[in-house]
Amino acid sequence: MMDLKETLKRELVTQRLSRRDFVAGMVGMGLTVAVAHQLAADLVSPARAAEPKKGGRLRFATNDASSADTLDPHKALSFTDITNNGLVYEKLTEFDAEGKMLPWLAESFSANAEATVWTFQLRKGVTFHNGKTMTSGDVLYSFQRILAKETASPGASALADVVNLKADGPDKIVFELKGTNAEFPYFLTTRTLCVVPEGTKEFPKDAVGTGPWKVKEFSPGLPSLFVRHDSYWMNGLPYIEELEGIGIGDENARLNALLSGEADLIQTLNPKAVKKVDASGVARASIKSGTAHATYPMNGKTAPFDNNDLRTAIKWSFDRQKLIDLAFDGQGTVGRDSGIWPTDPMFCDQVPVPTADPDRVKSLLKKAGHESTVFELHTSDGNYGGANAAVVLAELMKENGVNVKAIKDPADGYWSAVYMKVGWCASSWTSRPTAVAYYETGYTSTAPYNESFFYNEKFDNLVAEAKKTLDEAKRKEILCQAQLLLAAEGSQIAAVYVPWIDGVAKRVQNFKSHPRQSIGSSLWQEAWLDA
Amino acid sequence: MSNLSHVVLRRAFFGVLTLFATSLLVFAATEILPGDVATAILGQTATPEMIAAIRERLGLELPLAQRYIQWLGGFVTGHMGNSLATGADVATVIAPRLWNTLGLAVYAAVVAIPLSVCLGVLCAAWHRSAFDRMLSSVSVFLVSVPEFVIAVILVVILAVELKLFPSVVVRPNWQNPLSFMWQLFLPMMTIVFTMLAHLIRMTRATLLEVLASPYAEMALLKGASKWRILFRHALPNAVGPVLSVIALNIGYLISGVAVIEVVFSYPGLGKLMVDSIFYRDLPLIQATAMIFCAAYVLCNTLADVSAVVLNPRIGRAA
Repeated sequence: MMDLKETLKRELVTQRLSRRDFVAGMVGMGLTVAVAHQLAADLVSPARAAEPKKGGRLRFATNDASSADTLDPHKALSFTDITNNGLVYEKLTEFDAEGKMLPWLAESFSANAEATVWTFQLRKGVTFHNGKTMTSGDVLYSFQRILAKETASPGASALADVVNLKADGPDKIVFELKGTNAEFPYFLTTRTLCVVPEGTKEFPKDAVGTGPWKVKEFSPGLPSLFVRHDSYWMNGLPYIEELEGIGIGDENARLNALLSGEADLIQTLNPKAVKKVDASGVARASIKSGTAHATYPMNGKTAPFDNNDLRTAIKWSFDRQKLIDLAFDGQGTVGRDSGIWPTDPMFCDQVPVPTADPDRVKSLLKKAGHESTVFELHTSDGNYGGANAAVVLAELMKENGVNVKAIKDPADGYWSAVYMKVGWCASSWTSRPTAVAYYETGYTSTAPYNESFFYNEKFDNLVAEAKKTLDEAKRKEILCQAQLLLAAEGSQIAAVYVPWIDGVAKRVQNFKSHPRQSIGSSLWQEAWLDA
Repeated sequence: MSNLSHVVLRRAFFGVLTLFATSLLVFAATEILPGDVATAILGQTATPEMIAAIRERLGLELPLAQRYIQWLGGFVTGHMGNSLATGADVATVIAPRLWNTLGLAVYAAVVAIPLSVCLGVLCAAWHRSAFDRMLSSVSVFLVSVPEFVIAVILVVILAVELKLFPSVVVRPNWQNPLSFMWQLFLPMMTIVFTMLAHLIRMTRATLLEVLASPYAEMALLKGASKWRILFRHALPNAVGPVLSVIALNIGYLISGVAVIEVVFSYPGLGKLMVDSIFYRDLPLIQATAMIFCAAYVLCNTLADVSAVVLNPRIGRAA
């Protein structure tokens, strides 16, 4: 009897017996079906609690490395800069792979009763790559540099509420805000708010941070090399010894690099390539849904899109899931034009999901007097889904009665010549620290990127009130009203949440994709290389 | 020999004029494009204040003519300026990329030229045979297919499926020549395929023309073998025109391989120019344009000079 069981096991493992026959055989031996299946599973892929191996070199490829790359964390703009940032520098707070905000370089934080003064207790024993210990002086210098006008840092807008900041002893830093902001620590996760040693002026010459890897070689547009920071504050981490960053702008070339073994981690894998990568045996596609979304803002301040009947007709003129299936290869989540992503704690599910409603479209278009107008939707390949997504959208809208013509503009110069200059265009968002921060960046009357030109006093008041509300449940209620208002009267079409799709080689273990950034948002401390 | 120096001097003079005209055109073309380095760097995150801050820092507010003259003055005195996007010295950025492009160019030339001349000789020797006709069709096919299509096909078959060569060459290995040749094999093959047709057909046509001349006929009548006529009598006379074509192709090797460099992510001058144009980084664009222009002028001059040297009759007529 035992011999027969052993024979069956051996035949299964060497693939001479199918799993079904194995189970049948085992059941004949007296095992239950469930146990037999579990035994089969364990034999074929034994659950190894594998030990992380130290060392090795990981090569990662980004899509926009160029001669304009910088290691100045306060000026990081491209995906490449942001990825490099995350390896070399760190911030006071951080979002983990599950989307939870964690204290990072700050050990803890607290606020006064009105949440207008925030005190951050800095972590002890954090060393920079040059051996210096991090103190409040370094943190103060970093934030002052970010706020300075000459730096022109994109992160300065996250600190718009800060009226004063000072160090309170060597390990505390205090931010004084102009009004209540219960979510302030979240704002400090903004990607350019990194800590550098006091007095740093020149990059990349003095590129020194507290991050898990330090800079060994960096020349813009050429491959860069990072090596392990041996006194990193997370004991024993990182595992990987060296990182090599290469730029492969062409999407096909990047995919080929992953499949042929030239790269271990690649950014923005095309959804069409997911099946191929998973079947290749040398790599897998790691998919994580999160904050990134494709938007199609209409200019709500000027004709014709200043008419809300027209805007509503357009929002209800296409099947959103169909758009995802056709233009995004089925990889995505439906959006409700409120902008807030489904996984955010402040997401309001009372906002209706617009569907394709030809009757509603017809009556609203008639009311607005735009039954036969042809609307132009501008796009470029620099947006999620490429220019193709807008073309598909236009076709879906045409089916239900809205005459839309998609116009493809060159990606080169799109953001200066087309974005926020034409009546209707495509745009893309990655993330903002919180729902309130997102609205303040893109939808309030004073928002710097109010791409849909939405000016609604009631909305502004709701957002301002939410910001002042310390109670989370109450804040959610207020923001729900804001979301309903924005969806009903706004000029934004936020229809698709695109997942981050990273290409990961088999030898990379314990890599986690991140909801807010591609290639795991550079949080690779716990990843290791198997071979 | 005064004819030779005549040719060289004239070429040099017009060469400088060409460089100057090119610099003007490149400057104008870059200015016409929408946006500038500030909007290109900031992209979607641009706000009016940030754009103004960068523009002021880089001196983009100055009038066009002044900026051009500033650049020109710096360039002729050897100061090529600094990259607008990163502030790095232009010469430092260009140097390693120039070496990379030259390395690939030399590699491709060393393979393509002997190969195509040999094949051209064979075609002439066996002209109108099946070999000749087949090679003719194949080479025309290769030259008609866009080079990036050839590149992608080679990558898919040889790099991804068979895993014989790398699919991208981001870090050329200058230390180890064998490794270098293996790394650059696919880009080199792509370039060779593109150049083959031109060189083979030129060699073949010139040889056939020479073989029809009276002295070749005389050699045949004297009883010389086909191969002896080819190598001893025809080839030396055919070298002139063939060398001219080779020189022109070398010009292409340095400035025309931008597409191939992009497909293989190869850090050469072509890719640098493509990147710089995206960022409207004028000093880098101008410097690379000047290098390409100078390479073409030099190669054209070499082509003319070689024609004169190898065929004194041309020199006398001029």
